[in-house]
Amino acid sequence: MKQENKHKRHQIEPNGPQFLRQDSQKGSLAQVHKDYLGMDVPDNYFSQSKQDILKHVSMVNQNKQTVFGLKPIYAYPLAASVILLLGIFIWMIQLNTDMANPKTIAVVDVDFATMNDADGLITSLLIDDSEINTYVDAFMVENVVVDVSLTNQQLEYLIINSLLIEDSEAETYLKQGILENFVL
Amino acid sequence: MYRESDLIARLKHPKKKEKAFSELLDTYHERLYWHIRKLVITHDNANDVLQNTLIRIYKGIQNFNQQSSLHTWMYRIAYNESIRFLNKNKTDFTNALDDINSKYLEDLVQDQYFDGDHIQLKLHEIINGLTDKQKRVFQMKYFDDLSFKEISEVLEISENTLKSTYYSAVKIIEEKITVESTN
Repeated sequence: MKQENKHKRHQIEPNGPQFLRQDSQKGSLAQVHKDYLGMDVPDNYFSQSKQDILKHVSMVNQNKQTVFGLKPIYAYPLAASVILLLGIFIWMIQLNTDMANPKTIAVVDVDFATMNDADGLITSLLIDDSEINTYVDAFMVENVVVDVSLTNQQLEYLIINSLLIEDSEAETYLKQGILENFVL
Repeated sequence: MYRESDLIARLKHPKKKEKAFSELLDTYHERLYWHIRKLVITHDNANDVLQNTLIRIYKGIQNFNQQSSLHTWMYRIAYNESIRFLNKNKTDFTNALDDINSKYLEDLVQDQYFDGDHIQLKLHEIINGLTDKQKRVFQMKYFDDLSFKEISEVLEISENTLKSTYYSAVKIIEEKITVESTN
């Protein structure tokens, strides 16, 4: 009795040829698996699968070999150098900021009158410009403006005295002059 | 052998590796797939295991010491990955032999890429009813076209044992399929 499957892939005869074919009679791998085991694959599976794998290993290769697009032997020292330079740059900015705003720097109270020129120049470098301006303003007020005011005031007193009050000193002078010149 | 050693050298070369791997796929991609498919049954499972296998091969080729042939080494990786997959997906209720067989057939029939008739289904059942050793040897010899020497390297069983195991398996299959046909 012969039995055929619906697709006539193989025949089984009770007293007929062997069910399992000899090697020479087998077709391709796909054909053998389909004929005997009913196993099939999607269309174009192997070509698509190959592309997927190659893409994947290419990414694996790239991730493994490069760091930021460079080989690790170059990338890591370069990154370390950049970080070091950045650190120095930030430190220098911080240093300049501290010098520009010396709130923690002690105000130097100097007596310019007792200081010689060289000391004064050097010391002035250590003092903030705003502090110097404050000192100069104070100096101008105390020593110049006030003095001028006092001098003006004294002059007025002399004038008033000479005009309104008997000029005893002038008389005394004149008398002495006369005595000296006429008597002596 | 000359071609294989040349291929291995290029696979180990950093600049030639990708091109050489593409050539490797041209030769072994489909063979490895069917080897895995028979172990894990469904197309989707086979696809997953195949991807893992090929990536392992790609990454491991640098350490391949050529103590065996290249394609034996690849088959061994594929086999181990398939077994790892099966063990991972094994559930408690599939420990009994009957349960293993019914689970196998159930998965097979539910696979959208299984297009077999009752004879092919019966063949699956007969093969799955063999001992593990018989099943692996038969599949690798008959369907994967590996030599006994190569199967010996993959399964780490002596060639003589494999030969007797194989012929026993063939005999059992022929007898059972013939009985089936007369019923």
